[in-house]
Amino acid sequence: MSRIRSMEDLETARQQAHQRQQALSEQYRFDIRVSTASCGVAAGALDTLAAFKRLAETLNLTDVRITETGCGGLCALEPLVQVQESGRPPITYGRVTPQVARRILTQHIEKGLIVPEYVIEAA
Amino acid sequence: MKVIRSLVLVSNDPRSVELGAEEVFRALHAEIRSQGLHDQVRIGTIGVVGEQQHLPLVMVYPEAVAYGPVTLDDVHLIVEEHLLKGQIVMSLLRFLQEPAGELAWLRTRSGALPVQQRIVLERAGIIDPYSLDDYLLHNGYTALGKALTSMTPEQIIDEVDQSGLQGRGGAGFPTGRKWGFVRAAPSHPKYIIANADESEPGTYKDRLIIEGDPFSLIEAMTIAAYAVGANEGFIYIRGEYRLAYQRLENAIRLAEEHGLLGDAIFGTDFTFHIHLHAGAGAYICGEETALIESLEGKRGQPRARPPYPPSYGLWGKPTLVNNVETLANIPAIIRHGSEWYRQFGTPSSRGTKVYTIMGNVNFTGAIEAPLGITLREVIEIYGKGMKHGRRLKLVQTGGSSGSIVPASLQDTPMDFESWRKAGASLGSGALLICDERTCVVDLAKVLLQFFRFESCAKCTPCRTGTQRLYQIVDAISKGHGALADLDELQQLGKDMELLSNCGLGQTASVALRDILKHFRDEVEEHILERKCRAGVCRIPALSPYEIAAAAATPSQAAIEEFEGSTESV
Repeated sequence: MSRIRSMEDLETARQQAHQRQQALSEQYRFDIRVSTASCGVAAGALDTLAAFKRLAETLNLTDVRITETGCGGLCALEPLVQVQESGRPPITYGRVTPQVARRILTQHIEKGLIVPEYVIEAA
Repeated sequence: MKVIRSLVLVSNDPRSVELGAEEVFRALHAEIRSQGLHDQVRIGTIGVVGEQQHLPLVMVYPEAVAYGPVTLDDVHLIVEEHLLKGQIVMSLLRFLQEPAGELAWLRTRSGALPVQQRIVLERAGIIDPYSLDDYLLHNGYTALGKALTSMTPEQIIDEVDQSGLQGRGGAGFPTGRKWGFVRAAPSHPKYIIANADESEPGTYKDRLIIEGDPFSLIEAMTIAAYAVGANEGFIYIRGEYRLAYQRLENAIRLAEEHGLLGDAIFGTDFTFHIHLHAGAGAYICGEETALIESLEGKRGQPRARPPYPPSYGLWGKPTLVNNVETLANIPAIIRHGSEWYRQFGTPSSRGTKVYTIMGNVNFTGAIEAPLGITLREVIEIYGKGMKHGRRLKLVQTGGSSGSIVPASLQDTPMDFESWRKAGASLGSGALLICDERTCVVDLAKVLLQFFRFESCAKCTPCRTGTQRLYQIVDAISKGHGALADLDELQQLGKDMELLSNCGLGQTASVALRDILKHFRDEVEEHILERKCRAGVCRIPALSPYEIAAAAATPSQAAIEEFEGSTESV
C-alpha cells in the first residue's frame, strides 16, 4: 500500500485491503480470533492463543488462520474466541482454555460440529 | 424436577405468518412432543424481528442462536440436531445484523451479548488491532479524509459543538467549546494531548479503546489537531498499559508509512506528529495540569488555575487536553454528522458512554450504552442481576473520586444533568456495584487509604486532610469513634473541597460525604452500638475494665441532674 494522498487513494487502499482479505479467506477456510486485550491476557488468552497455534500445527490444519483482536467488553467470559468459517456467521466461544481450544479444533474445525457448552453467541 | 433446558421462539409478525410461521410453530410443537422433549423445551413466539430475508425466524435460547428462513422441512433437523444432540445447525444459522423490536429486548435479557449502541467501541473486539487493512475496511480514516479535504477547521469545531459531545473524563465539559478556546488562543505553537492516564480505580474504558482500536485514537487526534491548529500531539499513557502502548506504537508507525500521519497528510500541507509518553503510575497525573507538568519533565503536581490549559498549557502554549473516550467519538461524528450523533442519549447529554461494570453482579465487563439508561437497567440487563440474588446496597460511580449512589436512586437516568440534580456525578463511567454485605465504613476507609497514598502533597488541605480523614474513619472502624467525629469529618471534607488546589483533594471526601448523607445510621451504629451490620469491621468487644469505666462515667443527664440538685440546695 502506498501513501494515501486523496480520498480516491483512500478508496483504492480500501479496495486493496478488501482484495487482500478476500485472498486470505480463500486461502484459509477458518479464521480464529483470540481476544488478547489485557483482560483476556489476565484470563489466560496467551496460553489459549499458543495452544491454538501449536495444535493447529500438530493436527496439520493448514486452512486455519489464527489472529488476535481486542476486547469486546465481555470480561466475565474471557478468554473469548471467535471462529468464523468463510461465508458463514461467526461463532463466539467464551472461557476458552487450552483444553477447550483442542475441542474447538478437533470438533468444530475438523468435523464441523460446534462445541455447544462454550458458545456465547452464534448469530 | 422439571428443568427448562431451552427456549424456542418463532417469529410471528405479519410477514412471517404470511411465509408460514404458524405452520412452523405447530410442526416444532409436534416434533418436540414426539421426541419427548416437551418437559425440557418451552416454545413461544416473538414479534418484529427486523431483517426480512431471514423470516420466518426461529431463535433458540440460551445459546441465542438464530435460524432462518425456516421451512417445515427444517423443523425435524432443528429439533434433532440442536435440541436433542446439542449441535448447532450450521446450514440454517443466520447472522442478525440489527435485531429489532422484541428480539432486541429478548436478546438483552437472555443472550450473552446484550444489544448495545456502539460508537466508541464499534470496532473493539472485532478487528485486528495490528492491521491497518482491518481498520480501513471498517470505515477507518473516512472521517479524517472528509475533514481534511472538504471541511474547514471552523466547520469541524462547529460540528463537534453541535453534536453536544461532552468530555468523558469525568467533568463533562462541552468538547466543542474547549476546541474553540484553543483555536481562538492567540499564541503559537499549539499542542494537543490525549489523556490516556486512566488511573481512576475500576475504570478501563480507555484501555479497551486503545487495545482494541488504536487507529481510531490516532485518527481522532489528527482531526482535533487540524481543527485547533496544532502540529504536535502527545498521548500520555498510563505506564501499566504496556500492551496498549505497543499497539499504539505499531499504529502510529503504520499510519506514518501510509501518509495518514506525519508530513503532508492526505496530500494536504497539514503536518501532525504524535509522541507517546508513558506515565510512571501516579494517580495525580490524570489531572490535566499535573499531566502537563509531568510531560514537561517536572514533578507531577497540579498547577494553580486559571490560566487553564487552552490558553496556558504545555510549555506555556495553548493546549487541548481530551480524554481518550471523548476523542474516540470524533471520527463517528465527522463521518455521520452531528444530527446523527444527537439521536443518542438525552437532550442534556448526547451520545453514548462506556460503562465498566464491577462488583457483586453476575456479569462484569464493559458496555457502551446511550446516556440516560438507568442503574437498574445496567444491573438487571447488562450485569444480569445481583450475585446470589442479594439486595443492592449502593453503587459507586466513576472510581474512587466518584459519588456513592444508594439503591433508592437506581431509577434515575444516568446522564450528566439528572445526576447533577441528584447530587451525584457520572465521573469516568466506572460502576462499582455493592450488595448488602458491603460495610460503608470499610468502603470509606479503603477509598481514603487510596487518597492518602496518592495525594501529591503540594497543598496542605489535601496533604494533611486525607491523612486525618483516614485516621478518623480508621478509628471508627475499630470501635474508637465518637459521634463528634462525624461532624469533624463533614467539616474537614468541606474545607478540603473549598481549599484544595486540584481535583484530588476536592473530590477525596465526596464518597465520605455521600456515605454520611445516605448511610449515617450505619456509621453511628459503629460508634454507639459497636456493631458492623455487614460484619466486615472487627470491632473488639469491650473489656470488663472498659465496661466498668463506661458505667462509672456519669452520663450527661446524670451530671445535669446532679448540678440542678446542688443549685436548689
